Amino acid sequence: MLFSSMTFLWIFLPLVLLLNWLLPRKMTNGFLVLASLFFYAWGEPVYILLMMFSIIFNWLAGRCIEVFSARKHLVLVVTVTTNLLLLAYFKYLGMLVRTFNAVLNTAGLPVLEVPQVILPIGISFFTFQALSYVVDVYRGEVAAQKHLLNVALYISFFPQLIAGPIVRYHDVNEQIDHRTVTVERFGEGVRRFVYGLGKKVLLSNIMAQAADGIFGLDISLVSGGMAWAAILLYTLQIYYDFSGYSDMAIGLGKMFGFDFNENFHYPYTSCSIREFWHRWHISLSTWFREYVYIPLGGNRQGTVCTYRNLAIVFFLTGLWHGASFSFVFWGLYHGLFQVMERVWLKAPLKKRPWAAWIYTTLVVVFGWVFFRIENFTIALSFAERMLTPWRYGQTSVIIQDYVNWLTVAVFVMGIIGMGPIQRFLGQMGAKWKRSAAEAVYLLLVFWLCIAALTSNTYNPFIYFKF
Amino acid sequence: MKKRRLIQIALIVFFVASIYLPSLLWLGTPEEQRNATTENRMLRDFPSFSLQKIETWPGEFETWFNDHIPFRSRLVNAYNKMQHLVFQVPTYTVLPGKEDYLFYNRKNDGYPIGLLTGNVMLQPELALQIVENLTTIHQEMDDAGIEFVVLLAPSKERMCAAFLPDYLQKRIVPDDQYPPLQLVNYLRENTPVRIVYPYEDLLQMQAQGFPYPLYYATDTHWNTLGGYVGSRALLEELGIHLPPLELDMVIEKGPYAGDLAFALNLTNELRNDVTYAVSLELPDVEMSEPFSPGNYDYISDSDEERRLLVVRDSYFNAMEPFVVSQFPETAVRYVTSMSYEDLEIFSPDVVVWELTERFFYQLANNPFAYVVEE
Repeated sequence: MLFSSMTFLWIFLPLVLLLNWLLPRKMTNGFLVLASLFFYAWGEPVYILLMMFSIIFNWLAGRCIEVFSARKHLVLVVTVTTNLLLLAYFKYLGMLVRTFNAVLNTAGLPVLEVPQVILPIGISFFTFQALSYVVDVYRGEVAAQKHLLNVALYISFFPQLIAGPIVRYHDVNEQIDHRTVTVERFGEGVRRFVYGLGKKVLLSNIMAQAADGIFGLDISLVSGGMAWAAILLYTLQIYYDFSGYSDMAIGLGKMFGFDFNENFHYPYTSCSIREFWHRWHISLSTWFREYVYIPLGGNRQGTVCTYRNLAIVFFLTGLWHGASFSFVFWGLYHGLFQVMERVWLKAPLKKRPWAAWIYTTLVVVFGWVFFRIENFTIALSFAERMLTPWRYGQTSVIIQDYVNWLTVAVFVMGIIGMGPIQRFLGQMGAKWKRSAAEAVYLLLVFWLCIAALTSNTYNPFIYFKF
Repeated sequence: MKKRRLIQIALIVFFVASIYLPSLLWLGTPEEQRNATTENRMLRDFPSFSLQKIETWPGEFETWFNDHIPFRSRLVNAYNKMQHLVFQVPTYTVLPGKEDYLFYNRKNDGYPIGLLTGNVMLQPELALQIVENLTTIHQEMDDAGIEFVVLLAPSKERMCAAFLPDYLQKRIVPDDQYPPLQLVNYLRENTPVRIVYPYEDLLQMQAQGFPYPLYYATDTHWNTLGGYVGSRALLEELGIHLPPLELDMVIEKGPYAGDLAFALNLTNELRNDVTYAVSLELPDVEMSEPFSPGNYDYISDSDEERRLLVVRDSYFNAMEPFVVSQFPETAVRYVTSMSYEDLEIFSPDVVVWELTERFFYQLANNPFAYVVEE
């Protein structure tokens, strides 16, 4: 079930909000767990059992770490290994077998049958959350939860279950037991939710129609201009899609009394790749920093180790996004620029902010080519069209079939909304927030989204597979 | 601070109302006043549940709910108004043109725009298949003493190309690269089949400055006037003469919103068309009850002796009164429900296969073939 679906907006959310309000406080955690499991089962009626196994297993692991503290290291190893093996099986088995087959093929040996394993929705998200819980208990940062329901709520809570943000346990453990829903918090939740819904439905989905149309063409039909149009649209599509979904998740969390950390902070205003990763999918980069980069030594063991650790983190970041070498390439591509900035780009970027912004934007935009197009050869052809558009000027495709005035208008609004208007408004922005004008604007946006969703069935969500 | 808190409360109240009230109001609306059938299709029924369907039931439920969203028609209407009237956004089905003309945009249904712009071409293999098929049909009909004529009705997109958006007009291919015309010329050169293609007749009317449109602006079809021109061309081929369409024969009937306006759910907003009638004395016609939608038998008091069977699509609707009145008995069958039995039982003297030119590839099929049932 997507947040941007009528079933969610007019059936699930009203029912869950109502019952949450009506039930006594001590019953709300259990109720929210049931609602969240139902939400997950709606999309995965079979793999709900996997979710429940993950909950019970990791809760037990936390209890064991606390009870058998002398053996906690062993418990941690077993728990992390089990979680990662599950993730590897469901998400990466096909990729591993295909890679192994490529080696066998080269050696002239018979290949293995590639298993067709269905990827459970959100497994990457809830596995990372489960690992966060276990590691936080292991580190002694938090006490193990005695109540299974509370761990279940942390892992399965529907606002952030299938698409994040990835919530670290120590960020929310207090809120699981002690939270309140105030007018201010609920109102803020409504604001964030509606802004997120608008980003997803009115901006991302419209740009997606155009971008997907062009990306769906045979590469031979794509001119240089079309390639640029598609990737620029995709650059905004993926931002508004994912940040919109994060806004909705954060907004929904607030409606139920939870404060989740921000996941995006105007990433396309970044002036370095390093800065970009402090603004883009913040919860993922924070998770990797806390649970991979720092345990590996971070930047405290010399330059070479720092670069090695960065390479590992960005390799894993790419791999986390998808079971394909194109995602791995994309991750390492970003890692490479992170290293380059540390080696010699830092000073030049600081001196020329505009040049730094152009450099960062181009790096990110080109990176999206390999993120969007899984076939590496086609991705290279696409990038070639972007780099030498004059060689690919002719096409029989009618671009207006994909890009119309609404697309252009939405694209312009997308550019304005990705950071410039916030900078421009400055103090005026503070007055706009929680004003009557904003309230009217939000209600108009909400009803426009309802009308759009009713009119359209085209509603893909990019990160759904993770 | 107090003012901001009040605003927060108001926002919450309106948001809560927005997610609860529509469903509550809908439940209170009588069944017959709920969503009108503006989509020209059957809305989904509530899916039955069983454990065997546990994986598919949520999707079926969402599909059902999407079909029965409270106030769905009005929401679609409001959104399409914004998209169409402000941004002129093409949809999967409808391409807005100039002067409120709408065109058919579907790529998987003949793709008439693609034919015009060279994105759909006549493949040599298909042309050969059509030649072989039509030659076979012609021979079989001839052996049975039946006259066989094919009528290709020019599409609106071609005849009203001047109202297409400029970016499409620039890409219109020359006549000799237009697939239906290529096919017509090829068939005339390579088969004995009689082909009626009233493109020149319609073009001539337009060139002479005929002040009335021959096609609807908001519909995929030609109107009664265009249908009359097509009928006249067909009947000429069959040796029956109707007078040329003159201004004093045209009767304006009233406003009309066509199937393309219907597809946008903007039939009130796009009621720009006018329906016309042709004032002409024709033999009286009686129509039988339909066997199924679009399939009728007619009897007229025409002096003609031949019996006519028409295999048709929806373009024949505008031709019907003019054609069926010229034959004492006419059987009209949709191409999808035509069968060999119709041919055998009705035993016509003339068979006309009418189809709109974007479906020219269907000429490779034989709707008259005798099918042995397994």
